[in-house]
Amino acid sequence: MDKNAQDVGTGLVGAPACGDVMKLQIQVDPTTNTISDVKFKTFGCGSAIASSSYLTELVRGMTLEDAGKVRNTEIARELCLPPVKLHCSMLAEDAIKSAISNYYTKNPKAKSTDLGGTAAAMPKVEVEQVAAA
Amino acid sequence: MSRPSPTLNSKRFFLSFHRYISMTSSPLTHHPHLPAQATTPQRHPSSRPRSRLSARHASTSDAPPSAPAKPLSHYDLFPNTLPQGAPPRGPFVIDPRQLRKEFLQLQARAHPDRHHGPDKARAEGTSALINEAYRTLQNPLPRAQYLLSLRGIDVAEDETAKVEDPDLLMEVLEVREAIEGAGQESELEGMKARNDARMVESEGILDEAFQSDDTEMAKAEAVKLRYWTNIKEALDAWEKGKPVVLVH
Repeated sequence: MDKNAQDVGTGLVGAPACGDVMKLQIQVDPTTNTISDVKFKTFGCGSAIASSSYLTELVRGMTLEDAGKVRNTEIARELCLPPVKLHCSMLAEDAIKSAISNYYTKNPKAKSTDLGGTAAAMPKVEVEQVAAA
Repeated sequence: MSRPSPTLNSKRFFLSFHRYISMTSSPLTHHPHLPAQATTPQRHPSSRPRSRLSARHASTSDAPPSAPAKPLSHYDLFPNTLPQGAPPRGPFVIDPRQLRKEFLQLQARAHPDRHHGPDKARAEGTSALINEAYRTLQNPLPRAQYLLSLRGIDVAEDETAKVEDPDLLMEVLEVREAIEGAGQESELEGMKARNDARMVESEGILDEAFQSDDTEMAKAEAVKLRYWTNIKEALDAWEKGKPVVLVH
């Protein structure tokens, strides 16, 4: 994928502890804000490659908002990663987040979502009306 | 000079330190470099007279007066090669041949096959410690990681750490892609030479950083050296048409 294309977001992340490097690219359909294609390139151990590979399967077709909510535990569970390899799935999570934020940097207008998923709608509170005595 | 802070994550150091104390505690309780508090709870129930091994070992691990006082580090095991101790007092760059020579001399005395009975278990511990110290100091990357761990910085095992240097990642990615795209082994020659140059440069920067006790600089450079080391492994493991999957 061309990293300079307007509809492509690129994430490049690394884990200093093991010296891995992971590149993840997403192609976004601007009309629906969904990931139409995703590619990865990982130089590292088998777990890091597997994590990024599974991640590409996971986020293809997702909206950017949903893809940003993918957690490393989801990847680790699917791949049954041992505890010493959990950081590989964290790297994959960072990669997709980094790719999404790169896309938003290129397309500031597309930023209609809340990546952190922390925004909450105002709860609808029905206040009981008590008639004055 | 910043003293090693045992409260921080110098796990590996502590392990070896405690192992060191527990296996040499009886003859070494009066060792000048050991803090008194650390040794007392470790005292063996059977206070036997000095064994052959520990007497010898104590004499070899007695660092010269210029060595930093307490606690013992891997550097103190090699008083002939590293008389000045760990940086910033001593140099970061170590002569590997001299270190190997002293390592073999130490192991010739401490090897478990040379000891019997209760001495044997103790010799196994001592020998393992010497091995670990040698493995750590032998190459610049584990040496730098060890020195940083003594300063409370964990670059070797902190899995949540991120690389903050996008240029470094870009360079690493490009080199790795070039290695992957190579069709003939001869194409790797230039890459090997360039990577060796990177590693030499890294060692120089680490030397400078540790001499001036610049921990941040040392940390950043240790991360770089980690990547150059992986590239070296990838170059060495290259086979025609095969992807390189690192094992670590």
